[in-house]
Amino acid sequence: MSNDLVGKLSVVIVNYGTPELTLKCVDSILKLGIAAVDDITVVENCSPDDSKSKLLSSLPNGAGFVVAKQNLGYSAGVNFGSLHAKRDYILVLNPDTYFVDRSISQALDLLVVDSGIGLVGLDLTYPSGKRQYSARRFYSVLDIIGRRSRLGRFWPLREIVAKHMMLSAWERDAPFDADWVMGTGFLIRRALFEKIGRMDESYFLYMEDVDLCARVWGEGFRVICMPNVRLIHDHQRSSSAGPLSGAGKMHLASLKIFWQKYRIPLFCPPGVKRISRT
Amino acid sequence: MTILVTGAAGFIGSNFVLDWLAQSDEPVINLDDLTYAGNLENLASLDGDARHIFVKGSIGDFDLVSKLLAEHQPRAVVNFAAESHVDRSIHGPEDFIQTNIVGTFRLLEAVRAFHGQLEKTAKNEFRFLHVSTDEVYGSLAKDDPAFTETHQYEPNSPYSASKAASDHLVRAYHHTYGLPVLTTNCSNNYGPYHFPEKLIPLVIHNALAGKPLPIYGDGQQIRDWLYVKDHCSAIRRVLEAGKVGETYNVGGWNEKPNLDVVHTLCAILDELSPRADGKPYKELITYVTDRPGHDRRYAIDATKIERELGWKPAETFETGIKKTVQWYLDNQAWVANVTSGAYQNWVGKQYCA
Ligand SMILES: NC(=O)c1ccc[n+]([C@@H]2O[C@H](COP(=O)([O-])OP(=O)(O)OC[C@H]3O[C@@H](n4cnc5c(N)ncnc54)[C@H](O)[C@@H]3O)[C@@H](O)[C@H]2O)c1
Repeated sequence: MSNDLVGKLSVVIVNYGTPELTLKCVDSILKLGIAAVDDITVVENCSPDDSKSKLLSSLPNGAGFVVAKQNLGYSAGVNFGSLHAKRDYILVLNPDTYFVDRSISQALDLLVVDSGIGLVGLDLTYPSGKRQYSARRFYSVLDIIGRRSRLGRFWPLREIVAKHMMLSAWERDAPFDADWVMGTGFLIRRALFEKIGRMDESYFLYMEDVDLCARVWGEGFRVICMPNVRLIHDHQRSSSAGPLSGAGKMHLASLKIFWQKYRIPLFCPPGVKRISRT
Repeated sequence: MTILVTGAAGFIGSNFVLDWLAQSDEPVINLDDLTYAGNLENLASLDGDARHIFVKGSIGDFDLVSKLLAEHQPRAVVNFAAESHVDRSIHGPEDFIQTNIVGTFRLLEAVRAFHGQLEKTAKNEFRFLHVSTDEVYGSLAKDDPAFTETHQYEPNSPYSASKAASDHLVRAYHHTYGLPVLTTNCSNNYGPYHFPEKLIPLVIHNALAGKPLPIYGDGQQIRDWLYVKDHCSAIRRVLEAGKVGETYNVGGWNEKPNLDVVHTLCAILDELSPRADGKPYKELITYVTDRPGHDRRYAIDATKIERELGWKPAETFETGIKKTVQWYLDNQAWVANVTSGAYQNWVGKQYCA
């Protein structure tokens, strides 16, 4: 395990209306020595509240601070902040996350020794310790129905959902290949990120992570997920509110964009090799 | 290539960054401690511009500055960061000593270490440009010739003394350690984003609010005035072509007694934004007790920069002051934003006692 994480990671955090959470996230990074303060860039994504002044008065000295002209979505925010990343690896974090240990150093070690890995997803966990199963298979139409509706509780959909969420892979407690990992917290090689054109800004929210992982695979790199490389995700699950809520609508809009870019089969989860760009 | 600009959330620094990015694509790292004078709203037009990154922090933080230099490898450092208001220095000199002297010293130390390990070409091309003031030269009698670069340093206020000390340190780092430094000594600036504690924006601000326009003593203190954008173009020119180790006076060839400045402002406001009752703004002028050690006259001889580097101000006082008033009229939201509670207290303490 490498003792010195500092100097290897650039961190990008996109704030939108949650300055306290952003500050907490930054604080955990510094306290645990995960990255140096000057390797952290906070993007103020044009929040409607007083995020800007709050962050300016409370961010630790030395953190990079950039302000977006308008809120063009999460992907655009990440891209904007990543322009200031100088280190070999970029750690992208949602503001509603924080670290409780230095297990991320294992992810970094793996990236350093295995040049075939392009992106590592972290083990997102609720503050209670409950796992969020943050690695997924690519969506089939049934997955979406299963996840988005009450039907998902019934067999056979229940099994399809379990498969989609890669539940069995987690049991082995070892790094495993995932079709995609959640964009809430991940590590990516900077050179690769730049080469594949960063995040696709046509997604406003949701699916940008699926898209990114598809492109990482497409570039010949692996996407892996690492159980026990913990990132606490204090998630208020807005998108579980049903398909017609604001979040649900945004999710569907993102799916539409994804469908326009990639061909997705109806029933079986496509798997890495079966997903293809249209 | 990149440049590191300190104090770029302040009046002159923010104008410098805006003008810099308007004529070059070279990114700017803005290191500013955001004191009362620092206001990131000055740079709001750069939101979404990846060429500007803001880093909150002090020039006196050696570790932080060292890290920034190592990370961004700037080809130049332009040092605006300072406590800059003479009146404040009279009430509380401590911050002036800490920032202007100790802060500049630590900044120089970090820059020296960084510069020392650069490879040859980068080392030769690197520049540290220190922005200073004509107040270091002291005060002039009415008919004395204007200050040239060889005029003796005779600072009279804690502010000018602290700036003088920083100038000496900068000079010493050149002679002792071979740091490629440049120093500019400039007269009074005015223009957009000027914090309304200083004469010109204060008068505009108070006049528009129908408040008294305070004049110290007889108002016959003479200053040379330079439009801030001319100051910025002078700094760019010195950075580009100045001779290492040299100092350059920057001035506007516009000597004016303060009272004349206030009268001019009133006349422009009468024209651009007449008072509701039709009365002239100059009726708002009130005389207040002069401040201690108030220098009578500064005048700057900016022949050297014109002769050696071909720089001249583009604005006369008449054109520049008109632009400035218009800017304040067009940017009342900015004014409202900066004139917060803390500011009100300060103005109250200064002029109404
Ligand atoms: N205003 C003038 O007329 C004038 C004339 C000649 C020279 N100067 C010099 O130009 C420079 C800028 O002047 P200004 O009028 O823009 O001043 P200002 O007071 O408007 O701005 C100073 C900036 O420096 C920042 N700052 C203060 N202490 C700091 C520290 N320790 N570390 C980092 N940042 C810090 C402040 O937050 C602020 O943004 C000063 O060095 C001043 O002496 C000013």
